[in-house]
Amino acid sequence: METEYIVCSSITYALKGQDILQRYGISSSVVKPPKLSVGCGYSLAVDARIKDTVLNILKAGGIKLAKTARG
Amino acid sequence: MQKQREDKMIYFDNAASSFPKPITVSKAMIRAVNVYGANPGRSGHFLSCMAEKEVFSCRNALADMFNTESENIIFTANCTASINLALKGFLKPKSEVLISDMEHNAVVRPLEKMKDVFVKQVEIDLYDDEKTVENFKNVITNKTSMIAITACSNVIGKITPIEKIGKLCKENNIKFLVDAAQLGGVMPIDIKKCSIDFLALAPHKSLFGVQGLGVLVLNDKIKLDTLIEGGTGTNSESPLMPDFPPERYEAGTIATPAIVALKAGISFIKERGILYIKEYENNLALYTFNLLKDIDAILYTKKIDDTFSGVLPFNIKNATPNLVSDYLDKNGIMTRAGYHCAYPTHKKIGSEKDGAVRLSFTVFNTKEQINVLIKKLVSLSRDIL
Repeated sequence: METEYIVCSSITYALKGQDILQRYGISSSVVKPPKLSVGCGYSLAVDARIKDTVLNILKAGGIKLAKTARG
Repeated sequence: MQKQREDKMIYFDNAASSFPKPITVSKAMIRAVNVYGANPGRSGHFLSCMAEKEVFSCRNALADMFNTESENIIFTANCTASINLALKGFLKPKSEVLISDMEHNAVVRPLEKMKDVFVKQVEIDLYDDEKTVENFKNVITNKTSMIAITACSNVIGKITPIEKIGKLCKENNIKFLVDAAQLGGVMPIDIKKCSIDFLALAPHKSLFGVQGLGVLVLNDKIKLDTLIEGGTGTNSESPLMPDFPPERYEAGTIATPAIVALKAGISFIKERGILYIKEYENNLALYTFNLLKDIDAILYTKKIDDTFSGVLPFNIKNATPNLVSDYLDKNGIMTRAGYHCAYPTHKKIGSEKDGAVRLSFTVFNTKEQINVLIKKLVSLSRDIL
């Protein structure tokens, strides 16, 4: 399974995003993406196959996102 | 000797800082120090993430309590810092601000320092909330940009009609800052229902947290100027502060042990029920008010109804407040004498000469403790005065 790293603008938004995804039964983990250059950024690691669904849910939940990348 | 004194001690100074705390508060704090004492939101390792999750959990609990989103919960150094951030981060030169005649120095002094801001003081009617709202309505001009008031006087315990004043703010496009140092944890506050833009909280008082932490709850759409700048664990490549909350306003390491203690305090309030707490404290104030009347103490309200909290000032004839408070202290009863950092309120109620002795209750106080207080006050009048 490939992992998609969705970089959030802050740890607060990453944890809030994780909570929102959990409400939809989608598991994720909050990590510093190992292969990405995001400085101090935190990301949500999710199953890459559902990337678009996850992005839609997060945007609808008001989560501020920086960028996404396949890890 | 010290132990004996602690065992018999009666604490009526909860408006300054609540004591004792629920045992869960100190347990949570000790766990934070001993189990996951890393820096939240910085390092990304297991302990740092664990600390951040606990911090986030407290943001969620506060967001739930005051009806906002978790990112609108800002942790500061104390309630005064929260008020300073709202005033100095929002007000521009020539702004006009309305305050009440019951404000704490946490509101009065920052505004006094802001020489280019115009401040008007508005009278709170202690017994007629409609009149209070009318008083504010009458002085609003098209230059008024903010109303900054206490939600509950720390001297007299009067709860201000924040929902009605908030409605007035909304109708006139005025920002609304509420100093809820004395009301957060005592009465439900819905920032949307009350049209509050900035809600300042003192976790170590009725929220049963510990000293060294403040909270500012923001309305969704507000962006303030920052008062301090520094590391946030986000956007570190930029020399500028992030433009989103909460990190924009939280430069430097936050007080994780105090934050998890606050979360435990909120859980305690939820378990007891906030409405129960309000009623309990209000009943203690009413019980004390009647007994003080019986012993001919000087009181500063005509009555105690449900628009008052568990805060009650009084004086004893022919004795200064300091003498009374000192006598009570020697007899194991803790109160606070003086002006309580709110001289305008003492002027309003007529105790400006020496101030008053203030009693302030929480759910840990009892009528039995109040009976002891009354007996000591009778002894004081009989034996000393």
